Amino acid sequence: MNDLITGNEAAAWGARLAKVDYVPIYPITPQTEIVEKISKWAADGLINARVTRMESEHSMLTAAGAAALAGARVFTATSSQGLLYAFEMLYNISGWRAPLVMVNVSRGLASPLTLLPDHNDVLAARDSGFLQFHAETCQEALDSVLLAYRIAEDSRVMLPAIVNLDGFYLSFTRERVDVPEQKDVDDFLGPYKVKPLSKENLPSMGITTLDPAVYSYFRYQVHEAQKQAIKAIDDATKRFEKFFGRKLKAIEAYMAEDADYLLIMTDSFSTIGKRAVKRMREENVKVGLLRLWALRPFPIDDLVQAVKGKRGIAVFDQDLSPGLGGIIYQEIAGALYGTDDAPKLASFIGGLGGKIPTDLDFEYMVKVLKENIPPNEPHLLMSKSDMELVKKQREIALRGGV
Amino acid sequence: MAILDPSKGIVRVVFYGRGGQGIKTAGRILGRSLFTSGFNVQDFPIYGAERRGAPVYSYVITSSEELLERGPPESVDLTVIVDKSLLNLVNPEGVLLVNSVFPLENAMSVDMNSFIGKLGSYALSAAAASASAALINGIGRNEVIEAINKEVIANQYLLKKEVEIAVSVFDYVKKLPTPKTIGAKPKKDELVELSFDGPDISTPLILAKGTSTLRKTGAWRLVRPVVNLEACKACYLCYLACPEGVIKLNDESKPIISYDNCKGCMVCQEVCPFEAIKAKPESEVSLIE
Amino acid sequence: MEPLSFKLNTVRDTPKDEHLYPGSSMCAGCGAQTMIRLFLKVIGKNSIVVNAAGCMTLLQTYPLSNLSTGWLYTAFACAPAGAQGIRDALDSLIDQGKIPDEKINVLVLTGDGAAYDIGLQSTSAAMDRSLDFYYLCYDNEAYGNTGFQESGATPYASKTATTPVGRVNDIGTLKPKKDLFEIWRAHEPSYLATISPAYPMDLMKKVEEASHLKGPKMFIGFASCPTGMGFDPSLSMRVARLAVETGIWPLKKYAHHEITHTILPKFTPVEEYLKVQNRYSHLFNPKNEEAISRIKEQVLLYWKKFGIVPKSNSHS
Repeated sequence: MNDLITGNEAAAWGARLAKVDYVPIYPITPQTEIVEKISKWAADGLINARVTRMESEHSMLTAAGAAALAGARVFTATSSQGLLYAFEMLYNISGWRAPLVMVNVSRGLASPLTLLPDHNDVLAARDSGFLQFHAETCQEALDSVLLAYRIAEDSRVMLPAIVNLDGFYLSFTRERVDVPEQKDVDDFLGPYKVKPLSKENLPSMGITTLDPAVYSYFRYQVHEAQKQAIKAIDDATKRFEKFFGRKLKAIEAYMAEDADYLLIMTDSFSTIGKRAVKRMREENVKVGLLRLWALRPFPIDDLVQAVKGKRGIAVFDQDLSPGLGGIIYQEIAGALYGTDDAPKLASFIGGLGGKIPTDLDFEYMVKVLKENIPPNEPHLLMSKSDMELVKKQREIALRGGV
Repeated sequence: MAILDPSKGIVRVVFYGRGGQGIKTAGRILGRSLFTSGFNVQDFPIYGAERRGAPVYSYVITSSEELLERGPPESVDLTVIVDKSLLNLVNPEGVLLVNSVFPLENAMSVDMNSFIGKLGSYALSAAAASASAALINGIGRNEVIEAINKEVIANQYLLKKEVEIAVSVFDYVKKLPTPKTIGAKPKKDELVELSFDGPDISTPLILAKGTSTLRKTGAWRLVRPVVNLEACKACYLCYLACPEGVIKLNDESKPIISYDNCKGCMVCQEVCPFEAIKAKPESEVSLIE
Repeated sequence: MEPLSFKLNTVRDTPKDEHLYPGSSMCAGCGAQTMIRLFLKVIGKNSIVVNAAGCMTLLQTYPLSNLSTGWLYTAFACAPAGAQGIRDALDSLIDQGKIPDEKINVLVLTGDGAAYDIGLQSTSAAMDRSLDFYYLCYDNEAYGNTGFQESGATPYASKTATTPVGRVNDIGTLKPKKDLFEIWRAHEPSYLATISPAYPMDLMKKVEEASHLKGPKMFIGFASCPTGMGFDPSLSMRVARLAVETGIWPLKKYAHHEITHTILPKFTPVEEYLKVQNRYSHLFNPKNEEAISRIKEQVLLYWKKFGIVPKSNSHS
């Protein structure tokens, strides 16, 4: 079935098609539409899932994790401040090895308070042990939810997953989405594998250990499972293509093969990046784009392979670690350090609070690579007109008028 | 007869005892004594999830040179065992000093309990600290006294008592002959490559039931409850009150206490209306056994 | 929840099965542990305990387990939310016909820090949603596991590690104990009761009564705490009993919209209770008449609301 639906609705469809048993919910803009949709489907009897309104994201994620351990396939969704409010439970749930799927609809973090997206919210969760998949389109929001279940529930992995989609630019944007047939999804996913709690199955879970060696072992096994998830991604995406004809990979390479320069991006702004690449190609600039779909596990081998022989790479970070710079830049620099002929790297910060990147931004990024401008500092992508707006508002705020 | 010399190299001391025996304070008194004697010092306690009555240990590390130490050291130069029941649980290293009435092979035995007399077991801290101070070159009696006054929280009367105990122990140990040093057992170990284990075994969950009984909390006991079945009227009160569930009822609904895990809280004795449960010191029991 | 197959009339009806195994890392004489042991005797092993951070978290330290029931440690603030997740998951699977209904009990077990303070929100919400669960709060009137610091449950004049007595403050805790019973009661749970380890029959009968009801079954238990409150472990039951006899810890239940006191106090002088505990020792050295009479007044005021007054000769 093809339809014109929002990213939020597409994500909700992912949960519906996965035939989830349980959805604990809590509202937050711009995610709310997902749980509203699921609540309505439950009220109409279109899904069997039990939907429970919790009193906070912290409780919502606790209930989600507990239910996943109790034998239910679980879906939940949050955003931004809500994700951070739930934060301690992310680490608990990965340690529980509870393979639930949570959608995070990205939104910049206060303060200042905002509604539009950047990725400091979801990247704060990068060390939690959750798998992370980042959608570029509304179609991918749906597909990523299905893939996330397949990968999270893989017997080698058994870890919770976050599917990230950008607030507004995906969450409230309608696009053509192909909603797969239920029967195909049933076959693609298979049943949930965690044995339900019963009289004969009442283990002790979420255990304490005060022994550092035992703690090290269990925590490191989460990393080992993430490494296994690289294989699980490969298997699941191939299977997905066979079932649904759509190809997803840990790293998407766009016009990258013969490129001298590469942009690296994630999430919905990658689409704008692709447009810029296409335009620059028309001007015979040999540039391409890599889009990271999987951020955890971090696809190091694929990355090393994809950048081989390139002259320069510009990383577009829609996030900021104050005092360090771009988070994904640091991860890529770390992954490429010491590899043979590692290309030059440059770091750019853009899209904070949902600021749309422009042709000017992308041209500048390539210029920095071409002219070998020293990349010691991340470059903030900010134009003269952007600064004029800032100054104008500051003038009103501080002095009451221009 | 001081035998350890922090001016010639690093000296590491460990105190072993149980919660409530002032083990942490013993370390602090020794640490403070060394500090005021002009040495570099680290002192720190280590305890697990367990509470009062459970094994506790504390370390004191000292030298006149810079200390590049953190956490429990791999080997020690002086092992002080304040609770003799722990002798089986620890691997003594270096000079061994034990709180014991009886002479022990390869160890100095000091009957600290007789020194503290009627004071509570907390006063063992002063006795243990001053015994160890007597074995270290460069600490005088005055530094120990000053350290007790700074580290022990007690009223003036008890402080004075503890200082007296410390001085007598200090002088007593100074006169004892030098024991043999126990060499640290060579530890053979190597690094391994951690491999991926399936989630079924690499998740921190417990499937087996009742494994807690492996924690032999019976060793926490200072006294044990002994039931006089003749006097017992099978009223259930001890059975219901027991916090540990170590009391079972026999065919006549009278209590049978399992000593493997009984912590010796003596709640059973306290609730018994018929004085059918008596407290017997473990020292007497082990003498007989 | 499974209705119990036995009736508790005398101590001889006490279920003999133990679901709390020996060998815990709790302090000797822990009153909370007696309560949990008796509580589990009634609801049985077909239960899953959902725990928040506190002393009892250490009932399970890898690889040692103290319980025959299931267990899930969540975090400090959210044990009721964990209970919600488990109940919802099982109910969802039962409703869909994926599993049979085995009447598994869900029991939230927390200390007073979680119940009165950091987890109050999630408890309120679980009751609001009429979650079918038991909640046992072992209340030792302070953050015991971290070394006895003041919590919402700490009563007036108790000394704690964060409300110590000093030159400026000779009282310790200056606020009264938060009335969690009334806060919980405002949610109209199916069953609500206070319990004490020193009154085992009262405790077990209440749990048994509650087991016939669906919805939130809430218990606040007096957890006599030798280490924190400061008394010899052997006095654990005596201290718990004195709390009831003095009228400081009312034993009551709220069911079918009615509060009933199940054990009436003897109005034993409060000093008898206070003076055996180190946390109140500053009130007697020298005797702080003002603080002690304030404690007495609070006790009398409570009972007066229910028309219960001491007989003239036993005035506390």
